[in-house]
Amino acid sequence: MLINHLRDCAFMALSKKLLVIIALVVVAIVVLATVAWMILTYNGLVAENEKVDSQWAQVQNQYQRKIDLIPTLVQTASAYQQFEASTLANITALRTQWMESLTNEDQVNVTNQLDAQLATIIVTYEAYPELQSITIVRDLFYELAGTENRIATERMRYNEYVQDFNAHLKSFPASYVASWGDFEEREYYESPVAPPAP
Amino acid sequence: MKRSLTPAFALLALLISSGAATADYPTLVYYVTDQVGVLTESEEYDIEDICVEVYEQTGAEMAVLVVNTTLPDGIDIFAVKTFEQNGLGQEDKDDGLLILVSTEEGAWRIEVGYGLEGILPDSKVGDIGTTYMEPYLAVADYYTGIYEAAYALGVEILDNYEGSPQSSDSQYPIPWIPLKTWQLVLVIGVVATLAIVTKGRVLFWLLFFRNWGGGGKSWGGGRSGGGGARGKW
Repeated sequence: MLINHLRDCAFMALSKKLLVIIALVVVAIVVLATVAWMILTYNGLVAENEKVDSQWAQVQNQYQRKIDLIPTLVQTASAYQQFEASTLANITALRTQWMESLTNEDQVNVTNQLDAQLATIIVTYEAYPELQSITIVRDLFYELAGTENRIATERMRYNEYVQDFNAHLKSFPASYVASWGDFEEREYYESPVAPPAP
Repeated sequence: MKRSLTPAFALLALLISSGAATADYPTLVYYVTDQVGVLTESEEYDIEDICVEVYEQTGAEMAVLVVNTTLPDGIDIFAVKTFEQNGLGQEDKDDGLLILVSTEEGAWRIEVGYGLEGILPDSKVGDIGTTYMEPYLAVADYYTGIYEAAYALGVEILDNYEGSPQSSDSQYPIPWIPLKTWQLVLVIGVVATLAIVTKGRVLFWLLFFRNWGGGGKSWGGGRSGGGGARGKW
């Protein structure tokens, strides 16, 4: 009788111990999984943020390409009276302004003005078929149109990356992790001037 | 109960497969994809010969796509997106090229991958488009226009681009199914087993997989960044 009772007590103590161990293991697994998820989410946000930055650099590269094209453009275009001298002078002035502007915001502003002036030039080019038959002029406008299209493409990708990042940042429960890290919502880049039609 | 679920699974399979296979932009199954039907089969072969030659000698992937319209995106974005979705060119080299013709809009675009921008500047591509393609497209001679442009572009690539030569001999026993022999045997075995177990119903489900047998050409995964030229006729 006594022996049986002692055996039951020992068994209960053992099974209690076992339960505690199982509970601890479960808690540990949950904690580990949460920490792992947090690390992964944090790193994911960092990577997406980096992607937005590097894509912005791509957009900048393409602007630089356009800026580099301007001296040749102005030089070539000034040989033909169809292009207005004042427009060409404006373009040269804006190019200088662009190179001197220090912040991204300034550069974007100047770029928008520059795009408007370049659009005028493209309209002129398209209005005169005799200009289109001159190889050197035509090649230049292919380069200009190509540059515009590259900017539009890189800008589109930039906005896509921003969208991905912002969506991730705001989504539950990733938003908790985001609030610990130093993440801010990224801005879209919309161009007020649509690229000229072909 | 189980029986009534079968159509639901078939529907699910259809949804999943159509979602995966047809995203927003056309899938390029082989070098020439003519969605309008302006090229005959032998004309397609002629153009594909150029693409195969370029691919074998340099690894650069040229593709041709003819569509009705690129709206609402417009030809520029349509070209970039189609290029990106299919991944023309080798992944690390981005040496792809897409000749896109939109018949209803009367517009063409030659989209050049990042890796070929050096040897194919926009002005050169534009000249090729206006000189070799536009005059023919204007009179609805799509074959000559596309062939001449593909030839001119192919010659430029062969002359100036080194790349890395590739073999396009199929490494698969059945060229249009991208499976090696052992994989093929495995798939046939699984399908046969399933066919017996499901009393043939699995064969019916397979009909729903739209990508069935659409191996064709697997592109390298390259990208473009809006380089190239476009025009209208």
